[in-house]
Amino acid sequence: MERLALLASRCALRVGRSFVLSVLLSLAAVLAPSMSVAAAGSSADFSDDYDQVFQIRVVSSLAGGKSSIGSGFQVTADGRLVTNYHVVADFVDDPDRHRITYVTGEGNTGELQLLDFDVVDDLAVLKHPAPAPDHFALARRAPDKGETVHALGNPGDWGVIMVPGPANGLVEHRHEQRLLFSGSLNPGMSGGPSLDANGEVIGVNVATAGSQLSFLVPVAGAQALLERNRALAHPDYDDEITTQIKRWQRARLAPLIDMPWPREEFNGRDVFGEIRKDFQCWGASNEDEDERAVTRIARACRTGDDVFITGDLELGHIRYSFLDATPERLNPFQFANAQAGVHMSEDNPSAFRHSTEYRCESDFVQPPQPSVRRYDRLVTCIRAYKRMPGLYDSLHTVLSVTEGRVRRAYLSVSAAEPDQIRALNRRFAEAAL
Amino acid sequence: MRRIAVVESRGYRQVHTLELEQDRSVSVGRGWDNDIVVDDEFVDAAHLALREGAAGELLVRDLGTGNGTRLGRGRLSGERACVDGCRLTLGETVITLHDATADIAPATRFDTANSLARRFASPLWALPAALLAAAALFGELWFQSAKELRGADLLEAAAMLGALALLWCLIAGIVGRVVRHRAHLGLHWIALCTIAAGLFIAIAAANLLAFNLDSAAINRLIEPATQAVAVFALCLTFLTLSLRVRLRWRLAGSASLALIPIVFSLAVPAMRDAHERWSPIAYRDVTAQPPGLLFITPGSVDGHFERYGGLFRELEGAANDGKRDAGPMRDDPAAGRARPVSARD
Repeated sequence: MERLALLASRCALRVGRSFVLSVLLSLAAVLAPSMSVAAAGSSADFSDDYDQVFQIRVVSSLAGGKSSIGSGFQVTADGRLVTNYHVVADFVDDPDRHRITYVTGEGNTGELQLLDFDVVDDLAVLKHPAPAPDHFALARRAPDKGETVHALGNPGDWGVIMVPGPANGLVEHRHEQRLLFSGSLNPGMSGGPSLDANGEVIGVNVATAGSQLSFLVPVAGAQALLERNRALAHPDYDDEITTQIKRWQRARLAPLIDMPWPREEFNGRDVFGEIRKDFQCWGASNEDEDERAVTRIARACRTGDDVFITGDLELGHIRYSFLDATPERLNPFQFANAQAGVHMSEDNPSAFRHSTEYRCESDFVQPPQPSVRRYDRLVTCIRAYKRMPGLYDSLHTVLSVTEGRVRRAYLSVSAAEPDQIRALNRRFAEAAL
Repeated sequence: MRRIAVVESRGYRQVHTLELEQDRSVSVGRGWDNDIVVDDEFVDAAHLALREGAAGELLVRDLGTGNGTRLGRGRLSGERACVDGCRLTLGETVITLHDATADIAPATRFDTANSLARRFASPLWALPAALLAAAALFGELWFQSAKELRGADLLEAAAMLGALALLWCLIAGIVGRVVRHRAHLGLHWIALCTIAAGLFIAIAAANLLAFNLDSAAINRLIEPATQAVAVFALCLTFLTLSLRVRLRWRLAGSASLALIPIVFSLAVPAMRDAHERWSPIAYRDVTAQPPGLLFITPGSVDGHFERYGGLFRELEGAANDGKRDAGPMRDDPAAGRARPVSARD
């Protein structure tokens, strides 16, 4: 999913990396289902709304140029604007070297102040120094499935455009809430309002997966942020992000730790599949390769939601995978060397700037049923986030090796607290051994 | 009266034995009338005089020559005593003086390379050494590689090693020819084959040990340590067979070159910290072995979870040490532009 702010030269990078990752995991490419676009026939008059959409710019003080642009809209009479957090992320990351400005349709410009943000909902509230008399009203409801909504935003510097399309209810396979919108949102439209037929805001444009697959933040998130009515000072930004991530992780990890993890058959044994709705699994094997030296069967599962913090930091993934390998044309030594070694690399390589190096512990452990020609191994690597005390990344491998088979189970958890990591790893190891 | 042996060396070595008397000195020089005639254009016709002192010591004296004489590292001036085995440099010629009254052997003794050559430089040794290296190479590929062993891979590895050995012999041959006037190529070949075989076996043993000890510190150490041993063995071989240097210098030279891989392995993590991280690797095994080669008793799952729990405490400290942007830029009030305001403004 590509976020829509034009982060200078970063959009392409993020898409590229995820592509490489998917190839590396050698998982089957999942094609996004093509959506039929509903013809947007609406009789409502939105002509006044165009003028009320601002272009939001984060300007680098050093370079003098835009480091990101997005859209925003005024929602209160006292001049509070709503946009996406990721539009102003560069400012939050380094407030001393950036400032936030707006540009209106007539070319008026001025500086905005950041009041509050929510990294999980990807929303931010800004303060306009000279409020306009008119502002958007927030709807107190979610759109029905199939209801036509109109997304407004300023893609690039060409001017405000409106994209009509049906809303399709909440996205599945995500823990945080996003509305699926069948319309072409483009970079720069991030933070713009999506309106219902009455002209009330029912969502905030946030991201696209291409081909009419776009996403809106439900308006309830913006409502909550405005009701909170806070004005953050920038020395508190890191603490605020930490608090928000911890709160979000507790809400999604505590039930995961407590709930039963349903098992599914995998290569003659039971492992975890899509244990909850926010996980998706893919399977792959190389059994169709005639020249293979090792037969490998893999299942890889992951959550669909990472929280964007800055251009090089996304947090919150949970990934687990299972790999069974059997030798076809290798002797036991070659097979062990090829398949039984532990080579763990960072699961979120760009986050290194914000974290310590990994520290690892590796142990041979007793298998549940003692067996002579078998060994089991646990390797756990942990790193800490520097600006977010109390949050850690964990890589955890469970390896079970016999002469004719290697079973590998891998769990990677991003930005969780120690007790959460311990509980998840423990539960995973016990089931995988 | 005492007898001395004078070993003259300018390229080839020549040993002269002379008898010294207190009232008569022995002369060394380019002229035919000297006791020892040195064929060196940079040596004077009459260059050096040797005589026995009153206490029986050996005295040497430069005869006022243009290019002078060096005794050991210093310039020879006046008449100086010369201990057994002392070294004089005149022109391009080096002469070493040995007391040969009792025994001339020290002056004419073989050095290591000569002894080794007499003993081993024959096809009888070269062939088994080559076979040993080939067997070790095959074992290395069979037991240590991570892919199927094909004839082509084996051939390729053998050709590669053979090419390296030939290159080595070529360089060693040239250096040996220039310095010793003898190349000892057979010895180089035998030494290289033996070192290669020994290394393959040592690497396998080290990997087995590392696998059983399962320690990250040892995993990090194994690669540079093996490289250091290899460099040491190769340097010692080269210095011994191609140059004519004393044992302590050979050992010191080899040891200092062997330090390079160790220093490099220590320097890389330091450089990595100083710049951006080079490698995204969190954990890496050296090699893995089949289950039959695990000789230690496995621990408990609980033990692992207790141990890695300690990592959180360790990392907390590390994270606080390196907190990003804790510098003055952030606290500088002049740098702040977007001052927060109350929502009621």
